[in-house]
Amino acid sequence: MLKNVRIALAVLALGLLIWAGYLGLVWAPADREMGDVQRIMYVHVPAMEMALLAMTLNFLCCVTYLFRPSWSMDSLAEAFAEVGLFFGGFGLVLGSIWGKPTWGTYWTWDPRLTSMAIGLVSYAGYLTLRRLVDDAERRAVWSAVVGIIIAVDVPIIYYSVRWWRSLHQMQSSPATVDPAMVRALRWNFLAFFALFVVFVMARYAIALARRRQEVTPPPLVLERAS
Amino acid sequence: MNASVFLATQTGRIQGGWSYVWTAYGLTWTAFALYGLSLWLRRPRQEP
Repeated sequence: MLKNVRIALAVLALGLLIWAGYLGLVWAPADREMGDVQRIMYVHVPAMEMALLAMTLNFLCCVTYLFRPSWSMDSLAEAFAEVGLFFGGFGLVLGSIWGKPTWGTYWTWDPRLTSMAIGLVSYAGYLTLRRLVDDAERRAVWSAVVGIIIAVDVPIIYYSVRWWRSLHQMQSSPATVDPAMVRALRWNFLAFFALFVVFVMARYAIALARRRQEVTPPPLVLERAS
Repeated sequence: MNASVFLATQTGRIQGGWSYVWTAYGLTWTAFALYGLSLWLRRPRQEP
């Protein structure tokens, strides 16, 4: 049953991705200043939104685990961390590609870029920690604490463009953007979100299966009475 | 000064740039495919 739901969601996400890709590449108008390069926004912004969503949900799972420990919550935290790292990683590369024709450089130590890079390194560290600790219970507690600490970076990433008005632009509002661009962006957000759910479900199943394998005692081997 | 450079300097509008757009979209789809494949390869043999 769950497998069928996952397959149906994956098909839906694929369909949405094709439709949203058409809207972003063909249907939406070119930007007045950036021209067609602005079309990168339709993949860069949703990727970063999914990364921030995953990081926030990882934080909530970590807090929940410390108050109500369960393998499912620990597995869910692991799933959100990896999926967040995935979306954030390629989202940062997309931003870098967009930066070259608009800013004239692939990388600059802008507060938004720097705080995001720190966040990604932190979540890579979180996942590394989970691999290094063998004891499942200790690993779950330690990584929950680390997950809470590194989540401090999430609001810094979001508000960095307001606190330090530097090269990266501030968040746009639908009121100041062409409605066609807003529509294309929302469809892309929906497509990325559907894929996000598919990825998290799949990664959660992997993590939970590993936890169960770790905590289930091996079957007793009965010696044949001689 | 050719027409496209003149237009760019007069309006500030970036000309062309489709190679960046295709690179970004290509990277997005490739990343989705590869991560999806990695999840499928790591899938548990028995569903939890």
